[in-house]
Order: sequence, then C-alpha cells, then structure tokens
Amino acid sequence: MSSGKGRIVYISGPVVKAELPGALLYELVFVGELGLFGEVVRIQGDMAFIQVYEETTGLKPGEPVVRTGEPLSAWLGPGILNRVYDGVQRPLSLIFDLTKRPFVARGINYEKAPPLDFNKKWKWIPKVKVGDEVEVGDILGVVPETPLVEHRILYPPIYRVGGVVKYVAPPEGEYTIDDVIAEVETKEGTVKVKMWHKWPVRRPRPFKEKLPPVEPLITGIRTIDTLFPIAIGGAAAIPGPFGSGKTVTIRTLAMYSEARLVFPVLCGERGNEAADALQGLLKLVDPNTGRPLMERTTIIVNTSNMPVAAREASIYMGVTIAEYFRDQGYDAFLMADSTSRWAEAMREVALRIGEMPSEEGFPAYLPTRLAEFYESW
Amino acid sequence: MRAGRVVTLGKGNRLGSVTIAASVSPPGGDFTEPVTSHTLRFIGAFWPLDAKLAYSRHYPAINWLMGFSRYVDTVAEWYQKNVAPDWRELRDEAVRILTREAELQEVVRILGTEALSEQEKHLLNAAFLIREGFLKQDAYHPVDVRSLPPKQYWLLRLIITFYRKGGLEAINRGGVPASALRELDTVKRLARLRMEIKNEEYKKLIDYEQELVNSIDNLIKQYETQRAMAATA
Repeated sequence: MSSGKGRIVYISGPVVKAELPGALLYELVFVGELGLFGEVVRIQGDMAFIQVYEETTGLKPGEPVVRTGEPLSAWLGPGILNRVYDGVQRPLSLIFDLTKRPFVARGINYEKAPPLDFNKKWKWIPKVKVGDEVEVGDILGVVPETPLVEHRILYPPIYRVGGVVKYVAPPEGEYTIDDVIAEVETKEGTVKVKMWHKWPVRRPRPFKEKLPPVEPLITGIRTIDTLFPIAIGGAAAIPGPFGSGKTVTIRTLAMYSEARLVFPVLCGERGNEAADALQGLLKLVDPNTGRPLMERTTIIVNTSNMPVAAREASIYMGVTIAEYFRDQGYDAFLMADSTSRWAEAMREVALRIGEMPSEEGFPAYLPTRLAEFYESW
Repeated sequence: MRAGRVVTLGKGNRLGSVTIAASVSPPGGDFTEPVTSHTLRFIGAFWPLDAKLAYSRHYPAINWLMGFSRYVDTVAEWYQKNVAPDWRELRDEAVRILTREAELQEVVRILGTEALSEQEKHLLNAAFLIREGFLKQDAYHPVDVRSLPPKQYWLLRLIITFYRKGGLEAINRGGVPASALRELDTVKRLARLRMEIKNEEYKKLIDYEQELVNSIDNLIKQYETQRAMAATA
C-alpha cells in the first residue's frame, strides 16, 4: 500500500480539502505540519475531503497531507482494559491539565502514544497444542489481563483461513503482545499469530450467525427490567435532559447490569461534562468483587480540545472494542453518552463539505449511519 | 449492524453480544427532531428521563407513560420460564394501572377526588404504591440499588394482589371504602419493602403475601360484622 503525500487546498473548521491522488475512502491520513489525525470522507477525482479529529486552528493551505494507506483502526489485544482513550485510541494520561480536563496535545501520533503497551509482558496460557486444527475465531490461549476479565486470544479474523498449529509459545514464559505466540500452517502459508491485531473501526467484525434478542439483559433497575426490558444484544435510547439524573442512571447501569464488560463512550455536550463523567467512572467499584470497575472497562472520551468530528470516531472505536470482546464469548455493554453530539458532528461536517467548491450535493446519510450502528429488528 | 447477540466464529458455538444504550439530547426536549426520531426507529427500548420527575425526587426518573420496549414479547418467554408464569400479565396490569392513573388524575384536577368512585380511588392508591414501592429505586441504598428478577416479581406481585383482592373482594363485594384498605399497616409497608428485603431474602415476600391477604380478609370481616350489628340495632 502506498503512502503518498498531498497538500491542503482549503480549510473549513474540522473539514480539510486536499489534493491527494490515490486516496481511499475512510483512509487514515495525517494533516498539516503537525500531522493531525483525519479520515477521508469523500473523494472527488484527485481531491479528498478529510474529517479532521483535532482542532485545525493554525493549519494553512499548502501544508502537507500524508496518506497511511490504512483505515482508522482499533488496536486490539491485552492492555486495552483499564484504559482511557480518546476517539482515535490515544491513551489519555490520568494526569490532567491544569483545568482538570482530559487533554492530549495536538500532533501526538501512535508512535509517540501507542494504544497498547508493547513492552509489558503477559502471562500466557495456551489452549491449543501442536497438531491441532484451528479455524478463524478459535481460542488459541488466554491472558489473565485483570482479576475481572480473562482476555481470550483468538486466531483473529484478519486472517481468512485456518490450518494446523505448528508452534505454540510455552506457558513458562511471559510475552509481549508483539511476540509470536502461535504459528499456524495454512494453505496460504505460515501465519505467525501475535496477541494483538488491528481492526478497521468502520468494519463490523464477522460472526457466524446473528440471533434474535430473546433473553433479557438484567440491569437490576426495576423500571427497566419489568416495564421496559432490554434484551441481550438489543439497543436502548435514553433521552436525558440536564437535571434528569442521567449520569447516575448510566453509572448504575455500568456497575450493576449483568453484562460482563462495560464500554462507556463519552461525548459530552460541554467541555467539562465528559471530564466529570470520566472522574465518576474511574472511582466506581465492581459490586460483586470489590475490585475497581475499570478492570472490566475501557473508556473512550472526547477530550476538550477535540472538535465535534471526533465524536464519530469515538462511537466507532467503542463499538469495535465491544465487538472484539463479544467475539471472545462475552456480553459487552456499550454506553454512548451522547449520540446527539455524534449526529451534530455529522451535520456540521456535511454542511462544511457542502459549502466547499464542489459539483455534487452531499447525501443525507444520517439515518443509514444510525441504522448501521443500532441494527433494527 | 453493530449491536446484537451472535454465534461467534470458531469452534464450540460460542455466544457473545454487544448491547447498546445510547443517550440522546434533543434540543428543547423535542423528540421529533431528526436524531431522536431516527434513533427511535432503530432501537428496541426507550427510557425517557424526565427532569420534572427528577425534581420531585422520583429516581430513576424514567417517564413510565412515554417509555416503551419492543422486546417485551420476546423476553416474556424467558421470564415466564425462569421467574413466574404470570410475569407478563402482572407487568401489563401494572402498565394499565399507571395509564389509568394518568387519566383519573385529569378528572381529579378538574372535579376533585369526590368525583371518583371507590374503585377509582383504590386504583389511584395502587398506582401510588407501584410508583413508591416499585418504580422508585434508590441508587445509594445498599438493599434497594439492584433488584434481581425474583425480588422484582414479588414486589410487584404484592402490590397487584392488593389491587385485585382489594378491588374485587373488599370494595366490590365487601363494601369496604378504599381509604380503609389504604390505611392497613400491611399495605403501607408495601412502599418500603424494596428497602427492607434483600434479593436473597425474596421468599419473605412470598410469606408476606399471606399476611397481606389475611389482613384484607380481616378488614372485610370487620365491615361485615359492623353491617350486621347496624342491621340488628
């Protein structure tokens, strides 16, 4: 995959128009001298419209745009739990800035802030042996990531064919996520499997079969469970105006529902809202074990200096991580607060693209995006 | 496409799921605005939080008249098998009582409580207990914060038993006024049981039903006796 260079032609808030030949739809690109994160959301010949996930103040036409040849992806593997990330999975330091808001300086890319720790060594418990036949999705081994969650390492869906296990890393050692923990001989060659892999956030992760929602997800909240139940695998909307106790409701759901893992995605309305909600979640205790709730959680939060466009990335990032744990055989509960911010982001981006010198109108994709996210039964 | 319960890839028919709860913040509380209205088409459950309810200290402030769930039919089978065969019926009766309460409150607002029949007053009393003793839930109370299905079922069942037996036998046949029923100690306690009985103690609620039934029977007898004495006087 080539990584070409282009240049900025026009800037309008979070949207940048660039001359970027060969760009692919939803390709991850780095914009300007600072190398801001962006996604290509529309292509017109050699021109690309880019949704930038960081403040574009100070960007100038003529500055470079670098292609990565890859889509925005989640980095999935041990070390993902008990973490707070921004919408493009940069880990937030728990040392906030002076105004007590989660903050990431602009231009921090994955090299400076890798989503996963590549130095940490994990205990590895293999579940397959040499000679076993494995197919995509099989559990190769487990890593006791936290006292609350056993991280199951699958033969990941980035590979399309199974095969026979040729090598399994012995359990006496401890391994980083980048060490090879298994080798599988397939008809397309030898696959060296590691504990981590990348998955494009806009692509739903594959599964064998989708089941109708028949079992309730017990939340422990009587009004919900008895009057307006939610099914495992279902979706609920919570309109929650200011002063309605939404934060407490969301916290109760996170702590007491019977879902094994919880994934809050915080897109606050005001800069402080996400920070406050975050502070609250970090302190929660898992009622069944007394351990920190963070040990069965990953939080995605919009930082105060990220523009509205970043909210869309947050939602997709959160749902991809949730699917990743679903694939391991867990019940994952994603709580997005609030999706209205996401839709506003989409509206603003569409508006700005529409304002730019362009021949075609911009399609109304809001309902489609929402449907993709929720799944209608 | 992203929410759902699935059979995952790989051997062994592993099940996994993603359940989603998403808050929406329609400007000015207008649910017809694009995000909320489109979202409503796709989601299965709707839990509208109401600032007025929160202000009046009703938590969780889920508006029971506006909420809904498209999953009730499908999860009812699970509840009927795993909790009680009449789960659905009880739940629907509660919703009916709450809906009727809203209608009657309009009547009371215009004509006053004197315009109501004893049955209607009784229904309002039952609705009050459903709200105070079942819908309300204290997130900071160690016993009340989380309710498992058996406790949920029995708390509601006690209130519905009060409603049905009180309405049919006491008021209808026995001529007992709604106020007398409401004042029974066993009935008043229905508002507090959620904070007194732990999840693992739900069997005490089963025993309590007998106490409740007995107290209503005693009340009916009391009124019978009073009438008999008045007749012979």
